[in-house]
This record gives sequence, C-alpha cells and structure tokens, in this order.
Amino acid sequence: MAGRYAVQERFAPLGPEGQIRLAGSMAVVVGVGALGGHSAQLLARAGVGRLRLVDPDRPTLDNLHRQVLYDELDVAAQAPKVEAAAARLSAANSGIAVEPVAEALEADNAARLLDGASVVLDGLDNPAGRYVLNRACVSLGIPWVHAGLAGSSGQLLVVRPGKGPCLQCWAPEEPREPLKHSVATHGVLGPLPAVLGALQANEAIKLLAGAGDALLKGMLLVELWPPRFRELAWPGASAPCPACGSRF
Amino acid sequence: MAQDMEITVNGMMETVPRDSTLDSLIVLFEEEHPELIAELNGRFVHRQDYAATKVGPGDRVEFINAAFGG
Repeated sequence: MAGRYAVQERFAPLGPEGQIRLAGSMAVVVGVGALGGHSAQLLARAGVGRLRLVDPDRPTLDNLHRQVLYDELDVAAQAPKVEAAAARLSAANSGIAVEPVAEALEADNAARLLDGASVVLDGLDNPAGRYVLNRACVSLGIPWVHAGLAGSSGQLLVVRPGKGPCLQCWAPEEPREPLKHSVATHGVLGPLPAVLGALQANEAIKLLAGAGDALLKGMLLVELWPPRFRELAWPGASAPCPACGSRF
Repeated sequence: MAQDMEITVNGMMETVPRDSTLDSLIVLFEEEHPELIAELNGRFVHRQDYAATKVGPGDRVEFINAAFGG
C-alpha cells in the first residue's frame, strides 16, 4: 500500500525531504472560520505535524455556507468552533497533533498563543486583530500569511520578519471601522474563502518546506466576480515602518 | 477653465483636471476610505505619497478595497 503522503511527495519541489519538514513543524491558525477552516484542513491533510487552532467563537447557522469544518450538529451543540474543528481535523489525519484554544488573540496573550509556531495563518475577521497579529509575529520573528476578504474579492500577503515588508509596511495606518467594503456591507461569496484559504495553506507549505524561492513576493489581489488575479509588486519603502522599523 | 485630460480609472475612461494628483482623484471619485489601496500604472503607491503623486494623460489608476473579513 502506498504511503499516506506518497502522491504529495511525488511533487518534486516538496519531495520526501519537504514532507519531513512539514511533519516537524507547527502551524498556528488564528481565527478558524471560513479562511482558517480551509487553510487548517489543507495543512492537516498535508501532514503538518502540529496545528494550534485559536478562536473564541461558536458556530452559527449563517456561518455554514462558507465555513466547511462545521455542520448543523455543531450549531445545535454550541461548542467552541475550535473543538469541532479539532475533531474534524484529527479524523482527517490521526497522525498529527491538533490543539484547540478557545481564546481571542490579544497583544497580551500573543506570545503564549504563538509560542513554538513555525508559521501563522491569518483567519481573523477584522483589521484590528490583524495589526495585533502583525506586531506579534514581527516581534517574535515568526512568518505569517495574511489574507482578508469581503464580497467577491480579497488579498494575500506573506510576511517574513526581517526579510521583507510586513503588513504595516504596506499599510502603516490601521483601518478603523466602519469600513467601506466589509462582510457587513458586502457579504461573502462562498467560494472566495476556499480560494484564499487554499492559497494561504500553499504559501505556508512553502515556508515550512524551505521553498522560499517559490513564495508570493508582492500582494496578490484576488477578484472572483468576474475572475481576476494579479500581483502588486512592493515598490520599496517610503518611510520606516511603525511596526517592524524596517525600510525594505 | 482648467484643462482636462483623459485617464483610466478602474478600467473606465474618465476626463479629469490636467493638474490632478492621486490625492485629488481620491476626493473626486469619493474613494476616501481607510482600507483603500491605490495603484498608478500597475504600481502600488504609498498612502503618504498620494498628494505628491502627479497623474498624467493616459495614466491608469486603480482604486481597490482591501478587505478584512475572514
């Protein structure tokens, strides 16, 4: 019988060595809703050895069109999302360790929640949390993969502290609510988080496998209605970054 | 009367004042919101550079909304 990861290992840029690196890694998924549900599932199936799921919320019926780790029984049970998610992911891959943490990431608990992370995936649902996450990852030196979405569009960014621009290099000032383009005003097209969550998992796998050359370099802008994908190149710093202090 | 010029804004031909900057176009097209990403001819422009970024005839400007749902 072929090994569990035989087909993935046959993808030459990953190979058996990449698989070993994934097994020895830990990914923290912060926010396990639509984006985080998709990325966590792909990382679990890819064989990332340890997954920590961080989210204080419980599933609701209006989550179900886009949050694939939950079902109607979970909505009825009203257990924290991370518990249902951990059960699903452990069933998908019993060979990895999944740690559910039903807490919100804050500035004062970030070091504890991100402790030991090889990579962090952003599944948050607001700008403020993402700026907290950016500062924490920059401070701790942990690479993270940002995505955000609303309606039929979103963006993706890989942050490697000390090696390239962070979220606040791109956008120094934290966007304050109310936003013009948000889930509250524009909803979410169901396939959008599947696309962006998969792209996040893909970048995380490259980070973990040591495939830095294949990483997304700029900011990927994704529109699905009608479809348009394009990458905005980083133009170089205009001023020192308030978060990372760098001038890439 | 100020001279006008034609540029492309979000894929549409538009007639705007010839002395426009990215900053003045953001006001003209009512794009003053906190999650704005602005591009000139395919290049990202830093927010602090909007006022000093002149726009010329035939330029392509894109106003994009960053999104923060998940």
